[in-house]
Amino acid sequence: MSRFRIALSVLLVIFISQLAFAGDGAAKLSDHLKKYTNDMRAEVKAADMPAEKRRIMNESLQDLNTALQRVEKMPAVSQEDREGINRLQKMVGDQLDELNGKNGMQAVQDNELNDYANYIQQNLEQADKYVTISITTVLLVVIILLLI
Amino acid sequence: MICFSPKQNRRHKKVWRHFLFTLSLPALLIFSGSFSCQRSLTRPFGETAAPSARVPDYSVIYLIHGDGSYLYHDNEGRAHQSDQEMLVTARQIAARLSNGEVFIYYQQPKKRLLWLFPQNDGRFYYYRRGKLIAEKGYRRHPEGAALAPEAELFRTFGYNPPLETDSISRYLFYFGHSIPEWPGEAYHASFPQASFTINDLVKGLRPFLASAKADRFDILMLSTCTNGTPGSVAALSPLSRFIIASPGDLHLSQMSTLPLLDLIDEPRLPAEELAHRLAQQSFEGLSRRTLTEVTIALYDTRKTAPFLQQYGELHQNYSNTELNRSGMECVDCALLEGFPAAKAGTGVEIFYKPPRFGKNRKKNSHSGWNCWRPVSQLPGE
Repeated sequence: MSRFRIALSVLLVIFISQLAFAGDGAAKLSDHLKKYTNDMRAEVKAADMPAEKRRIMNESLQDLNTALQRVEKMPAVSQEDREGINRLQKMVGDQLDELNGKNGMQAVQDNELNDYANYIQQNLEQADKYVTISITTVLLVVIILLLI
Repeated sequence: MICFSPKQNRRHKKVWRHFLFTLSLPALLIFSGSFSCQRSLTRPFGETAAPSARVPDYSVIYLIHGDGSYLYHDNEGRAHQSDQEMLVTARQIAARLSNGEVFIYYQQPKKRLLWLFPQNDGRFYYYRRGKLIAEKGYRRHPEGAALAPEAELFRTFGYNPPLETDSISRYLFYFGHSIPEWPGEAYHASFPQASFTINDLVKGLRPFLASAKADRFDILMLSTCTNGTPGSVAALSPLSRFIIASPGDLHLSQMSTLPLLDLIDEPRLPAEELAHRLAQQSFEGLSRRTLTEVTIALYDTRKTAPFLQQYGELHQNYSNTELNRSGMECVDCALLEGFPAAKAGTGVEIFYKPPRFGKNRKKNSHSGWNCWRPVSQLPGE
């Protein structure tokens, strides 16, 4: 019983603190997308074999694309957000093409894969493109990414 | 009437005491926080900071936008908050500039106590001759006139020249996301309804110049994405002799203001030379840190004026567009039909590095200007 009371007290303090110092959510949600690519970059760097590095990047970018596609089809998403998502999808699509040497793009060489992961991360982090996407839409993308 | 046994009474008292104690902790946090931010600290860090009466050689303004996502990771995966780091850098530089005055404004996300009571969401620091004279919180009110609270602080604390004078060099540095050229886009994450465009920035900066009895800044640096465009530079040209901006995307590790430290030994360093050093050091730092495209342009607004007058007519079509930027692309103007390439380079010093990967990896030059165009009109798309 005392452990339950302690846990309840901690949750109450956290809840009240969150209410008291409620801040913006949009920036924090955008940060989730940045952390997603940072995690991908770290996994790529940790992998030993080029095939494994490519697999990690392919899966991460395809999962991101899948999340963007699903959100883009939702009727509640505004036209402005849809355009922002399309811009992101194009960027991710171009990166997949270059990784795999498709659609006229020169394939990334095995000895460049770590750098390419850095490039993908930097490209996404500096892009103002998704600044124009609303908090609700970013939230949907993050949720779907977590569920994939 | 309900009666409890002595054992039950003791248990109930324990529960209530525990409950009240639990509530009191956040209450103490709340109410101590609501009052502490209102005080003006005229003696921070135990220093006595009486302002000097000597005329400063230069006046520096840092506007640091932090109401957005400024997280980035370096090549080792370490997380950085570029707005917070820029604030630290600005304060370190300000503490060393012994011949001038420095204003630092840090715009933070909106905060409300229990959703009702607005908290300060801006932080202001004023240094004169390396001493911190004032540090205080303030309310930004971005729904009102842009930068009005910041201008008021400038009026209150800044050196007020008795007469019009051109002896004080004036530099302004803005750090944030790309500033839109037309309305309709949320800029501040916690004030999505508030507009902030290049025209708002221009209107917001005019009171600073009026208070200083100055015609223009000597250097205005925009450490933002995609503001090295004819529309942005044309709007800002009346406010500054030199403008430094990035036509393309800019990494969140930001441009550099470290060359300001050269003013310690060279307080009368010509603005053109200082602007060159700022642009060059920014370019070199960004090129070292990133694999993406880096484009830094230094505009001499006297020399770019003829080009902007000519190209302004071509660019006008997009300044009133109802398209939002999500449906548009910002590309090198040299790719667009009708762009007066021969005149575009006059008055522009461009620092360019192509990306290590991507479609532009073999691009080896840049016109110095980016233009906004609807995605459907891009060549080859």
